Amino acid sequence: MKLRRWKYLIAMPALFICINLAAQYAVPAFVNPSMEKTESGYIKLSWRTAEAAPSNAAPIFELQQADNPDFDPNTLIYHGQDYATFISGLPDGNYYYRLRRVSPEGDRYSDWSTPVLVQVEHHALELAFLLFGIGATVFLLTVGIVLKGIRSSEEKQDGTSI
Amino acid sequence: MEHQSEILSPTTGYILLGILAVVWICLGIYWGRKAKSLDGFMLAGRNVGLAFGTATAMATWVTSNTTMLAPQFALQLGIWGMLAYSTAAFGLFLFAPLAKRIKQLMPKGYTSGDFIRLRYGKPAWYVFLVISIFYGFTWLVSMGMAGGILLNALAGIPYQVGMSVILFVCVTYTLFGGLYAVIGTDYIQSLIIMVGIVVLGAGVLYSINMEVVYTDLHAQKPMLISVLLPAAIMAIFNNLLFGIGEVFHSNVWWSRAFAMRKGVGQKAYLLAGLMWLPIPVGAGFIALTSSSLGINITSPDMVGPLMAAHILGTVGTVIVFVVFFCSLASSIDSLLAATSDLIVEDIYKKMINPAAPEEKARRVSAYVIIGLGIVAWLVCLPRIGTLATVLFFAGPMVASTIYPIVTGLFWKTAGAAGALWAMVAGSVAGLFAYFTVGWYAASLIGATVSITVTFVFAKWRPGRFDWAKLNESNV
Repeated sequence: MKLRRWKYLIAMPALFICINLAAQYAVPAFVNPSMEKTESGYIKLSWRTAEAAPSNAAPIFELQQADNPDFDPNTLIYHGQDYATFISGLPDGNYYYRLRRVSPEGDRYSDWSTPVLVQVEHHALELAFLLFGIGATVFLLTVGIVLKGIRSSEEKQDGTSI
Repeated sequence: MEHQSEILSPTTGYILLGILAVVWICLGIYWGRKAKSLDGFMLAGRNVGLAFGTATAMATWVTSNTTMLAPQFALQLGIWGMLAYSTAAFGLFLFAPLAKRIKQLMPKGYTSGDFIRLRYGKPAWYVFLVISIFYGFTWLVSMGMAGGILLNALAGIPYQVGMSVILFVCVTYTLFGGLYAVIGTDYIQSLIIMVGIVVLGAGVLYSINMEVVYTDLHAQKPMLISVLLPAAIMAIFNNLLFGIGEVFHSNVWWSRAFAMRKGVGQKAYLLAGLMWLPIPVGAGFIALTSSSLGINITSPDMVGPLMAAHILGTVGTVIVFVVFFCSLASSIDSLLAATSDLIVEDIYKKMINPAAPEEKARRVSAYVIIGLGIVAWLVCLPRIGTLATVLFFAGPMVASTIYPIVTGLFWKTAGAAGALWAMVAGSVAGLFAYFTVGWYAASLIGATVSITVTFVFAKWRPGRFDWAKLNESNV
């Protein structure tokens, strides 16, 4: 009788550990490559999880952003059920993102995903102003052609110009 | 599949979709009952007045590109992006005098393709048709996609279902009533869009704290309020020239110029531009509040509708649903009608069957509308890229048509070789910029190369065009 009770005492914690391990969430993964570059300061991060949601409940994810690979300090930038987020308005610099799945109660979670590094390096301002200047010139010329054309066509009934 | 949390229940969404579908099909058939002749079907009897003319131009320009792309611009490129989008109004402003000139030179014209053929001859005409039909089709696909994305995000209606319904509704009423139906429904749709935008704008301003929005943007997305965001600086004239190219070359706008009564076109396009101008600014501003309200955006083209719906609750979502449906329908119907006109008039009647009687051409026109709807539906099925990536791919091509059009209308010296090479070189250079710099520079480069080639040819090999050749009834 004593022996059977011992077996029971050993088996119960083992069973509990097994159930917990089985319920551990799979680690979600980014769809993006591990390093991305952007010259416009915006990027879309998408992710997926291999695990089917228990009881058809939609999985909940947490997404963190940091300026270093150790994520210290970090900012929680998303908590919810979506599988993507659009980030914009980033200044030049390196940004690290990592992701994990959490339970609705917040008491269980997966390990953190492999991080994604986003390098933001905006176009040179010289290039931007050069294109701005060219655009302004082309636009003014277009307005000029239209206005001069109208004046000429109104002056001459046959509409000749140039 | 990137799940985006929806706001309305799918049941409510399906009910709204059903009501709107029935209303637009019935109204389209009602407005289109006058479309007995080919002139009636294609050009609404060439008798459109100022109110209908202004409404149709304004409603057509308030597309998913205004209500969905303007907020996307603001989310991606900040304050400058929002203002950059509003510069598309210059397309309408500058087309106003062109509409008068077009009506004067081509009182019996049908399409923008007619103009290029008569003005520059066949080689330039072929290139123009490829650009114009490609652009019209890309715009149509971006609209169909927008419908699917919108209904999915607002009410959880599957993308394929929403996209299919909106295309089916527009194809059906355009098929029955041609441009009569398009202009009639545009009139009602423009009223709904204007009232809806005012209600949404007032609601958003009442609901948000501007100081908090600014502080959050400064902390989380500082480049969106920076005046020195390089991509945004490039986008300003890029978008302006893209807008001008879209309006100047597209048969959507030429068919309206032909359809309006003498003396109406110039005023109608000016008024439409003025009424359109504040809409992208308002729609774009809403996107900037997303970080303050903690709303996750999975696809940047959905930021406008989602923000408006989240800020204004269920009633607001219903208004957003109706307004956006109208803005999409008013553009899809115009594109179906104008692109089918271009295919029937320029390809079927000019290349395949010049002796086709009017009834046969009218029948072919109906087949083309159905065919366009089916092909657009097939291309929309796999959701490819965002609206911007789909539409802006055509940007450099349409920007390269600006100068062949505008100099062709005013300069006797503009010749066929100049027009042809301006379109080819502008498109190639613009597409190169699209892939090497970004979409926000492609139209600008395309237009710059096009204007340079046009000027060089006008000086180097000047033509002596006889304007009377444009009036085909004289030829």
